[in-house]
Amino acid sequence: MNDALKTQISALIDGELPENEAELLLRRLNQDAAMREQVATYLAIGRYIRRDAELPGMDGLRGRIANALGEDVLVAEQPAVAAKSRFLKPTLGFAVAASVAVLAVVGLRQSVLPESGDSASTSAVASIEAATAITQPAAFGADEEVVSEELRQMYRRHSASSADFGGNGIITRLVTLELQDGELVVVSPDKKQGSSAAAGSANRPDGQPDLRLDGTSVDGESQAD
Amino acid sequence: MATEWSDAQLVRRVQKGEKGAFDLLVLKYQHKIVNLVMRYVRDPDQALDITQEAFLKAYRALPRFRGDSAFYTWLYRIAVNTAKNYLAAQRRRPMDVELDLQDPEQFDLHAKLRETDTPEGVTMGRELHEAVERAIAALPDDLRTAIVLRELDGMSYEEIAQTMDCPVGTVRSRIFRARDAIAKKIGHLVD
Repeated sequence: MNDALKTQISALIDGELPENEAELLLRRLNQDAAMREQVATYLAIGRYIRRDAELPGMDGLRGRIANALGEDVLVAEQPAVAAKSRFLKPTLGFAVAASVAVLAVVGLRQSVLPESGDSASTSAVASIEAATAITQPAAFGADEEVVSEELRQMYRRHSASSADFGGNGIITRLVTLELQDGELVVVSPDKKQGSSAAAGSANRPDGQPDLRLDGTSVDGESQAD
Repeated sequence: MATEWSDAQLVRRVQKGEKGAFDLLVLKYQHKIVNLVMRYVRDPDQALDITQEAFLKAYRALPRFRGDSAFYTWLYRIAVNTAKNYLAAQRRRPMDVELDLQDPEQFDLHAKLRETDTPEGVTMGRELHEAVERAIAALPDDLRTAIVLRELDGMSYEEIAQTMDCPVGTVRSRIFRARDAIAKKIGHLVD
């Protein structure tokens, strides 16, 4: 601490610091414990010179108050923090789930979009299929490598967070739909390499048939429970 | 234009959540409040406990402090009430309560009288006294005069400047240098 600052502190405790300087100095004092110790020292010197009496244990009073205030503030803030956590937990979980869904959709869309960027095939629609329409556990079959490890981790995290919402760990399966012969057909990720015309008759890599929106498979089997 | 080490400024900062500002208020008033509380209880430890409690109550109540009265008057009342509540809880009578609760300055006079004639529980090390005396004696004349006029006679910088026939800025510098020199001489005792 330089002498200019200490001179200001000295003038401050005497009430002799101009208002604008005092305001700035108080701002610094509020943030700097070492500077406040300088205030304490100068005030103590005044008491010593005046021979003011001092109780034994007086030195520690300020520290006791500061400690008690610290605890008091923590205690006072705890309910607020707890309330905040209760509010944040589902919100955070929802945000994570939403992020996973978005990333998964982007990932799957990239996997079905043709390299050529053919605008006709970009009519494929990605959506989160309603659990009531198709509720089946996510399965990673032979073509598992199509789904990246990162995506799988995101699925797991999503599963973990969905339990907090009462989702009981059910993983929402993300599917891509493609318009084929006037019907929306669920397209598997492995179709990205194949032609969209062949997609309608191809089965999923996990051995399950592709599904129409009405819950029937492309092969005509009903998958809805 | 000089200003007081403004309680209002500090209070506003505390109300904004700046705990460091409350630390400054504690620094400024802790001795006055302890002396006040010592009028109610004999035991220094109890006095310190009550003083601590009074400051904590003040801190919690500060968000509602509107500044209708001066901060110290407000703090003074909190301390008196805390001491009385303590005594009520202890089922003891206060030593002397013939004080004008509306006049803190009147009380300070009582407190100062008490400090000089009741050394019980009130001490200041002889070594520290002597060190301060030696430090003041060792100061150059201009510094010693400035600090004595300020601390013992309570003169303003303007009054000291007139007395010493020098600019106010010089007074400010001299008082700082005197304090700094004393702090260096007694630092090992205070630490």
